[in-house]
Amino acid sequence: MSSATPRINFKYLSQFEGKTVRIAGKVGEKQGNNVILHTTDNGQVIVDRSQNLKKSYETNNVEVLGVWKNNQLSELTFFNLSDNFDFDTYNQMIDLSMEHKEIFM
Amino acid sequence: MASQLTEGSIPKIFKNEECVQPILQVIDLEETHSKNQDEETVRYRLKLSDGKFYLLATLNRQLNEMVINEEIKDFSFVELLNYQKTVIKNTDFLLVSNLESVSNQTEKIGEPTQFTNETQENEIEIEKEEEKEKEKEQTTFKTQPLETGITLLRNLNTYNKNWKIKVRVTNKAEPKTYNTNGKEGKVMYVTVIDSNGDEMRATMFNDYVTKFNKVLQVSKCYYISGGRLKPSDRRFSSIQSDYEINFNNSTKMTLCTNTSDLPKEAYHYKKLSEIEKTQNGMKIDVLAIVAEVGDLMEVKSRTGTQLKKRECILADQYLRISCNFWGEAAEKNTFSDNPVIIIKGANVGEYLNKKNLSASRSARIILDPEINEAQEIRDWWYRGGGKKTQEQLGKTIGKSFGGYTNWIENDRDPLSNINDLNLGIGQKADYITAKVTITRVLRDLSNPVCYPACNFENCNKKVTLQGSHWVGEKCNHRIKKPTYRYNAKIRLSDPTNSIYATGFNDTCERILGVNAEEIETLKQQGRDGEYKAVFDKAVPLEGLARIRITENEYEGKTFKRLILSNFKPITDYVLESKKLIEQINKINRTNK
Repeated sequence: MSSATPRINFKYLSQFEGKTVRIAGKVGEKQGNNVILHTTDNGQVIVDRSQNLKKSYETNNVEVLGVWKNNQLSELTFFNLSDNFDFDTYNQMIDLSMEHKEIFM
Repeated sequence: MASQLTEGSIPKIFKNEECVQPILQVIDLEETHSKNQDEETVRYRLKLSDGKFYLLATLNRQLNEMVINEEIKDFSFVELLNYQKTVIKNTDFLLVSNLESVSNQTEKIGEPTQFTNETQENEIEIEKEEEKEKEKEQTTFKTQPLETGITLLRNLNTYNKNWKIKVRVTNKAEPKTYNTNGKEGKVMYVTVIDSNGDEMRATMFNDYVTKFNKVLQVSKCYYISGGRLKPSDRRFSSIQSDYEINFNNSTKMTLCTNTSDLPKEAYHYKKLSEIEKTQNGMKIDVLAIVAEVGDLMEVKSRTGTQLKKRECILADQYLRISCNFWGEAAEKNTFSDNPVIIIKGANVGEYLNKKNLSASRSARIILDPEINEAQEIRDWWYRGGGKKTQEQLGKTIGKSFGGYTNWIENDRDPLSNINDLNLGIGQKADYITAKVTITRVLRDLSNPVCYPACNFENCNKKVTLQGSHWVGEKCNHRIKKPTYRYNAKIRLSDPTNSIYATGFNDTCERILGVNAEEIETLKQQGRDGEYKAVFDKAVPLEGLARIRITENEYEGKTFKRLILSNFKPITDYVLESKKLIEQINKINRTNK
């Protein structure tokens, strides 16, 4: 049985150690194979892109799908988001979906 | 180099103290655009700094060349020769009409901060407060101590005969001749304002027109006594007064020179969105920007006379509306440069389910008034606001108003509310805005999508073929060829319910993307593939539906009649998301 990969935010990462998750954010500094992702709730996530280096982020905002382990998000794939992406609304949505986990996860 | 800048000049300019041709530095020069039909107006905004403080400024368009030639650019030193200081929303702005370039520089001198009210010492704050109070006095009502023996306009009524008013004439319309029941006559209207800021209309007929027209001059003040008080007719005037005065043989007028307590103008204009609530035929005062100007046209009136007309579009932060100017108002005004306009006494009308305005010679037009609201709206316009205003939405079918403007902004109702809240009973129809998906459009023999309609003078009733002509069962008109119009049953679904609502011509055209004539042609020509394709595009379309609910009785049973009066496919996902979150949060709160 497969279920959708949960969409989460920086503040919820601790609940998903070792799990595959999706996080959206603004693309920040590059450090070798890593990229900093600035999440919509003002967190910073280190994304390890070594498994997906062939593809480059095309926009300033992306959603990264990867495995959260050892304080790093190992990217499996990503999705380009528009520059008009509304961070505030997205943030509220994540909070609501975490409040009502039974519907979403 | 820094010593070139005139030290302390910005505070002086701010305080309106003398400051001769100061040398200032240009910082943060930026271009702004505003459009008028095909012409684009470019304006430059900047900060002018004396090294310690800066003020926001705008260049008059005649100076634009200096920026284009690079005589003025960021960090340039300029000599300020002529400007006008204005206040918008407690922020000071300099409108620069003349300056000279001194030298071009490469860096910003110092770390200037904006000189505002907060920057000042106490004494300046008090000074500003006093200035604000004076501005307020001129545009709002204020009960002032009365001169003895003077009656305020608001205290005039039909019972009090011995009154004396002290007023300023704010408007005098051209005398008109009329002909009723064979009697010919002349009438003239004036508007007056008293020390309390209240306005009232006065009328005079025939000989009195000649007599008082010579006496009364606009913007002059008079003591007036004697005349007949009548209830005012709001069809002819937008003045907020219960009464109007008729000047007759008992009226005496004397010029008054002690005029300091009489305001110059009273502005009671409304936002364009108020027009939705105003009945057709009534008059209204509005403040807006002239967004688009049409050419001067000549049209023939019903009586055969040639009338001059100019079609324009007015816009403010909420709405765009079309406004037609007639006669002299159309001829004299070209409305270049998107001016701010106040129209006093514009007529509210309607055409094809859309509200509109018209200004004839009885309306008073003021362009670019020097008041805060004018600056605010001009500011919004320069920031590109004109592009974002919503098009005025068409009114719903039926006579009720139901708060129609901006129905998209309403809270979303679930379809289940129609039954749960028992909507539609009672005299007035109920309306809801619901987020729905179109799940079906009925198109079988007993539920055709469109019908042949009578095209005689917008009749639109159903016609049937009888011999060589089409005849209306209800209207009895005979026409050669009908026009097909939509009348379709559309199934709308949301998580709570599915309902059928009837869509009329405009709505269906919007949803299906083709007009009824085209659909009927496809059907009659047996082009089944194309016919089906039209409907496949509409299902499943997600959007916002404006539904009108009434209750009807048929054979002893009551049932709800639902009309889809408007439908807008969802394009603004961010807005919808926000609305949804709002609604969810409301539930969360009540449960806790």
